[in-house]
Amino acid sequence: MTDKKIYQQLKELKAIGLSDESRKSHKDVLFSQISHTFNNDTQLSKQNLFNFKNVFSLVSQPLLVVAGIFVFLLGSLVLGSGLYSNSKPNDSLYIARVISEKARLNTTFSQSDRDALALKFASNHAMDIATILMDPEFNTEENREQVEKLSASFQSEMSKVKTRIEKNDTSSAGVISEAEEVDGGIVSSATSLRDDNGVSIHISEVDSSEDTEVDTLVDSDSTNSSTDPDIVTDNGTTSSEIDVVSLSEDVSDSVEKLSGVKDGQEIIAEIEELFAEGRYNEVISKLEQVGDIVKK
Amino acid sequence: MNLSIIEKLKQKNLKDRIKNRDQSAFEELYDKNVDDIYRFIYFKIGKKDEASDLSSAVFLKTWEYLQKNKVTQKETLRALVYKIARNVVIDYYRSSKSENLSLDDDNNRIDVVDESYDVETDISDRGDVDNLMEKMMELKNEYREILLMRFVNDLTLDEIAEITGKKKINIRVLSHRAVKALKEIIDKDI
Repeated sequence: MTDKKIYQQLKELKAIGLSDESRKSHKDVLFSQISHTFNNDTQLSKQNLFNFKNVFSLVSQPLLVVAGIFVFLLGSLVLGSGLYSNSKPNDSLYIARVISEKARLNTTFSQSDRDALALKFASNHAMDIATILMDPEFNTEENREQVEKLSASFQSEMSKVKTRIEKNDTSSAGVISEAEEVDGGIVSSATSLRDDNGVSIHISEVDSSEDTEVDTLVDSDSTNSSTDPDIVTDNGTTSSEIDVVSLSEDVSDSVEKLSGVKDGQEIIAEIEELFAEGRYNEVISKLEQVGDIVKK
Repeated sequence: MNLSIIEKLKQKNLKDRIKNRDQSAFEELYDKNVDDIYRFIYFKIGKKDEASDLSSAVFLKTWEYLQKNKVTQKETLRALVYKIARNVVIDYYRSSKSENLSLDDDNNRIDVVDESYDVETDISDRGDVDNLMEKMMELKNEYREILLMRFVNDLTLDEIAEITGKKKINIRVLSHRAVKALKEIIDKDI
């Protein structure tokens, strides 16, 4: 006999029970025995089913503790952000700010947004450290130990900024290579330039020394192959001209981005030099420039 | 298998109402559980009439207990009724001086001896069920009790652990062994 069959037969044992008659007679006897103790005046309503006391008494204690911690953390992150958002690296609430920033980073799911946010936080930290070190009352021999700690933190934050900028540099490598290719004057194909009518336009060669001009335009759509590949729009410009203009805009954006990244790396190097020389004012203004690059 | 939070709330509410001497609540408890308790006792003592009398005694004691004692929040009402049922059976054996049928002695088997039991009609009606019941009576008390509570009366592991005072993991192991032992008994006869 299989286990399943045994379980089935065990369920069938439910058929064993009191007969209706026996149940009724026993019930009558039982209730007559205790009838004098019944309290008919007070009947606790079933509406009390969901009172807080009942719920709390039934939910397991570990679950309550976990829920409590979660509510506390959530509350402190939401309500406490006003308190610690302006805290400085030498404040006791600074750790809360760092935790809050980490939480924000972990809840940002877009990789590019997360990188941008991490870069912003790191540059803000570096700026805060520079602001503190700029204060002549703080930056004294007495606070030498703290100053050293903050300097080390600054270096660490700057290395984070540098890493993030390099990461951005790598991620935009594809765009950059495309930009360089265009800059050299040769684009083998631009398959993305496919208009709504299914006309694919291949740009064989672009000479950057002259005005942007399409030398050869090949229509890949067989039905339209005998006709002129350019589709004339209402305002007289052709679709290929519009596409070339949009491509040129893309290219100029990419070049701008590239130059921004290169500027960022140069600025970081300058900031490190200025920090080493103790020129904190200039460090802050340079960090603001980094902030502008991040915004871009 | 655990009781849902809604079921727990319902039981808590029922317990509070019974403590408040609400007759309808006690009736609800009785109607829901009397058959299970009767079956539980019947499988322990093997006598129908005495099982039905003892079932009534269980509910009477439950009523009295709830009026006199503070019940822990964690304990479900069903677990409490079964605990009382176990004690009632123990008292029954003590009073009838049947020490050789002590529940603590796992080597002793209880034979179903029921004068009012009409074998011919009952077997023809149920066949396999009665055959299985006979086989279950050959099991040691601990296994029979676990099988009945878990697979017949559908008590949760938490409730069985509460009733027997054992850990949930032990209840799982015992259930597994009990099914295996029952299977061996059935297969032996085939």
